Amino acid sequence: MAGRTPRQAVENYLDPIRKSIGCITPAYVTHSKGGRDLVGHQHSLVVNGGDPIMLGGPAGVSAELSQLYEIIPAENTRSPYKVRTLGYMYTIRDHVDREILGYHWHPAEGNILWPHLHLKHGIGARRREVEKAHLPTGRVAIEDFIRLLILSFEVPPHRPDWEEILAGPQERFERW
Amino acid sequence: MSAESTIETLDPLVHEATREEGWEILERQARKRLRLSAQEYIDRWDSGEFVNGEEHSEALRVAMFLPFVR
Repeated sequence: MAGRTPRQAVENYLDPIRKSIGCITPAYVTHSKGGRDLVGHQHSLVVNGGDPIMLGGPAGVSAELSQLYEIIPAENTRSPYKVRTLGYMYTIRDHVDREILGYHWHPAEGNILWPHLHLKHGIGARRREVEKAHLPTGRVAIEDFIRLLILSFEVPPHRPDWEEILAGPQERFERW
Repeated sequence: MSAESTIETLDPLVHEATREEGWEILERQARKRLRLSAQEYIDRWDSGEFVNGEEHSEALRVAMFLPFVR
């Protein structure tokens, strides 16, 4: 997402994320200080202060969502700033707070550079290899994760146009 | 109020954390996931103590919150 100023680039980045999250929860989004202005600096973006978001529905799942991003110069002279996603962690927990699964990408930390999926004891499996595995995935957008929650974990959508909202901004992520 | 504007009000608010709020977030997450204070977590993270340890996975989760204080 690009913009004429760092702030505009971040607004263009945050707006579809905010709308997508609004498909399942009114929980607030928080970014770190300077997260709309400081160029070349790592910023955090979390939902619900980083705590689990209770999502309702028959499965009674909760979710945690966090991202790291950076404002960087762009080559486009009309929109000389853009926002780059640096990592994410999206987690689903069951009704007693056991982790079911987690989509992770944190290439700047640790030795697992690729986006991956963790399957945890909340799925009912007990194989140690599976619990420790970093199952390779493509990059997972917040919109993909929210769609998974609605379609597979029966989280009730908060707005009738959720499919349209989640379909729109995905291009933003896939371009990166 | 139109239906469209009603929908818009459902979108979550975006809040820029102050430095103090950032420390509160990191403190809460470090205590919940690792039973460490924020400062203890930072000291151990910066010294590389978590690498390959049993707490590495939870330490990585807490690292997502580090920009709130840096």
